[in-house]
Amino acid sequence: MNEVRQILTLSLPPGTVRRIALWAVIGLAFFWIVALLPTLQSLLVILVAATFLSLLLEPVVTLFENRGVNRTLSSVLVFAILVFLAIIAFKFLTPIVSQEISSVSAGISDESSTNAMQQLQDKLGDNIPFFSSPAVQVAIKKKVDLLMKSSLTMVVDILSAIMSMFMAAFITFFFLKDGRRIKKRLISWMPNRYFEMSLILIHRIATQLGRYIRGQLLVSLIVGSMSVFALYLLDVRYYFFIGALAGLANMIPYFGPLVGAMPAIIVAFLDTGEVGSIAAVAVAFGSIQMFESVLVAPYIVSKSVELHPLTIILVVLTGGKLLGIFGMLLAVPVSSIIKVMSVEISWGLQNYRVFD
Amino acid sequence: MPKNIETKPAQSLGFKVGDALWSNIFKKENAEQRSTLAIMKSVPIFTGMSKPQLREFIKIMHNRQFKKGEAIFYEGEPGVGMYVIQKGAVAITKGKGFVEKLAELSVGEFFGELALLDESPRSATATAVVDCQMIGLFRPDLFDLVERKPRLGNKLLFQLACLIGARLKRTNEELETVWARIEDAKVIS
Repeated sequence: MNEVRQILTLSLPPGTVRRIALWAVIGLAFFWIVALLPTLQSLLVILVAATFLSLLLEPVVTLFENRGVNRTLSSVLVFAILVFLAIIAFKFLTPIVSQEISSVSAGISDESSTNAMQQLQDKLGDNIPFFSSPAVQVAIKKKVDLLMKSSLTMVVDILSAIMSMFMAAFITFFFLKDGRRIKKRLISWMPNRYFEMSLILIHRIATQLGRYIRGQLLVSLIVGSMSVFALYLLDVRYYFFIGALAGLANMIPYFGPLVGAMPAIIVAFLDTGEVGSIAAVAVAFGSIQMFESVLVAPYIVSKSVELHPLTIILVVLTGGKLLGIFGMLLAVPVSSIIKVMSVEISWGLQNYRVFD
Repeated sequence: MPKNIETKPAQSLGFKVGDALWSNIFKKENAEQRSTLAIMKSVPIFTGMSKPQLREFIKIMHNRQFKKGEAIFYEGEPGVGMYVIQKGAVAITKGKGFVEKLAELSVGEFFGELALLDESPRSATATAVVDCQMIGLFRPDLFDLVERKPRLGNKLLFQLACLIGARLKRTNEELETVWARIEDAKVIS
């Protein structure tokens, strides 16, 4: 045994065993976290949302602090403004949203939706022979039935989402108010050898992520608002929901905009049955996408966190498997976070004498 | 035992114990803070700052302990910030094979201040000569303070500029002296 150890020690360069052990621990920890993901789903979602929100609101709190207001009061003021904006949005949007919810639920509960689907199938079948085959029709019917059943559980999901939102807001407040103190305390536990590296890494990662998340949310907000406005002008039903969905879906590169445009195209087609209305919606969404990719995104979203298209497809599918629709939405931001972290950690390991 | 002590209410004794406990904790905090404040006042980049302003800096500074022989940072690593020695002594060395000792710093002295401005590599290695206690001010925290409290942050940056300016002036003077000597040597030869 001792001989084996001696041979190992002699043949390996100094620090290699420790390096291998460290990577093994990191690998194990990663797999452990991935394995725990479904169990800790709701907690994780709340924490991620609170982190995103605090990164989003941090510059506003800093702005107040810059004007001489202390940190606690700045955080309270930002939250007061948010609540005020939420109340205004609630006042304005409630009639639109409740009208849309009731019409959507009425559409789902009565026969009209089945008729509409039949209508859609017929129209598609007339134009594209593939859709008129019985096998395809049965498959579509099955999917539609499944979708309608799941709409009932949506109400429960909405209630728990509201609870989670309150929790996330509560945590965000403390992240904003005591974020620096929490960071200082956490970093004080670092051994001296890793201290400076951790300090600079945390700063670099937080700066890049803050910029990325703020940029993404701002772009989504712009795209969402423009989509709502365009659909309102084109007189498409559920324009608010569909527009907001398009804004959210925009966070997923490449096929996000397509996913966002699909409901609008389907609804426009169902309502009018004309190819012209589809073209109008497609042109509107295409123009918004062009505006976003030429004039908005290059100035707002950081290029350093861009992912390869293949990576995006893989992570979106993995996100969907792990956390469902929310996982798909979070997959790209979370992967970007992991990318930024790995790039920065690898920079830190190359530049600091961590293993000597 | 005297009668008056026996009849003393337990509650008042409790308060006394409590008061002593709290006053000791605060006394300890104050003593620690006082010593940190006194050391910070002796550091040129904190010159002219009031106590509340120095306390703002203490809030963003990190306390670190180093064992004898432990490296604080290595030459060539990206610089992150400066350290002020509270207890102990630090050796500043240069080189890997042949190690040249540039200086030994003691309580109240500081080093690594250029790293507050940029990420350029450390020009020397700093090692604890004995067990040390230090307070560190680091660039991310300083830049964050500049954003949040620009007046205070700029005050420190101005002091840092003065310090670097004075050093540059001294270096120029030394360079001029050396240059004059070289010229003299040329004339003689």
